[in-house]
Amino acid sequence: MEKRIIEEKVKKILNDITDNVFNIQNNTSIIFDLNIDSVRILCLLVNLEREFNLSFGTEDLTMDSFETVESLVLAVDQTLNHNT
Amino acid sequence: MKKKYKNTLFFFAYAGCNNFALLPMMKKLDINAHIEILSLSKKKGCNIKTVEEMVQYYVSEIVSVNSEQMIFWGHSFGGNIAFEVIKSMDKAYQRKIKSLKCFILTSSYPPNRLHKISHFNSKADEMELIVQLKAMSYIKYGFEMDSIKTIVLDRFRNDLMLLEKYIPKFEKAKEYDFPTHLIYGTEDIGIEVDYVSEWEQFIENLTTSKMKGGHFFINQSENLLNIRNIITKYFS
Repeated sequence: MEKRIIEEKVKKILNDITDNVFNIQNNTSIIFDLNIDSVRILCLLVNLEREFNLSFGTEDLTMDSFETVESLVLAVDQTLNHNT
Repeated sequence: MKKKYKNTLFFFAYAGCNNFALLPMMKKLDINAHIEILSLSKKKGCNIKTVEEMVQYYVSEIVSVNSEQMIFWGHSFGGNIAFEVIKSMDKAYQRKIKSLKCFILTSSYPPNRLHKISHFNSKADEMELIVQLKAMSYIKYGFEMDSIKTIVLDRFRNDLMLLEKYIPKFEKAKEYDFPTHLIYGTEDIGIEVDYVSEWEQFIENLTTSKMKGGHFFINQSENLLNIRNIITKYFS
């Protein structure tokens, strides 16, 4: 899947779980700017898994994966490549 | 070649903890150290059936990390597991345990009181578990979503099953080289005052304190900042 499409889908999911309150950019911090808490992060994961037909292990995503939107897109991209 | 870290914080997850749910808290902790979350969420931990196996698995994870200094932080049941890990490492990995700078116990029942959480039952129905988890402020919302409910309750039931088979050994207090900080929430419905003195039967030289909040007071920013101060003091 093209990275641009992954990026669009990730941003849409983030918009949905944050009720479209934020202007989400590639360098937006997921934890600090979007104020994602422990429940919303689980929602994020569930939605990512559904959207991309993935199953994330704790080895696939780290704290660094949630640094910015860009790093999350990269992590999804890598997991997709790893699974194919 | 294994990566070498100067400082590593090992966080022993509480019962029912999902590693991903901890990420916001760990990001906000903002410490200059490598962080390892110890839980059974990792693929390798899936076949573990007893607390003893869990301890051995955690020990193997810890000794595989090359770090000059370590801090153990266990929350709730995670604190009890951390305590068992320390006892196990004290016998088999004395050199490694010398790099332990501090042990932080938050919201952990003394080992002789673990039966108190038996009001949680791994076979309890969904609603019953949710009511009790909400009472402990485990998570304040989210159970209305089926996917979250499944993630949280499956993990919690699995950890409860381990706990139900666990019989802690009573061992007299030991004075370890590292300090231990025992912290409780002021509004924790399950913690009784004499738990501090009961922990002293197991570990000497405890520093005890209370922070505002319930069983999951560690999620509050001001408390996280205080815990951060403890961690950075020992990692300096």
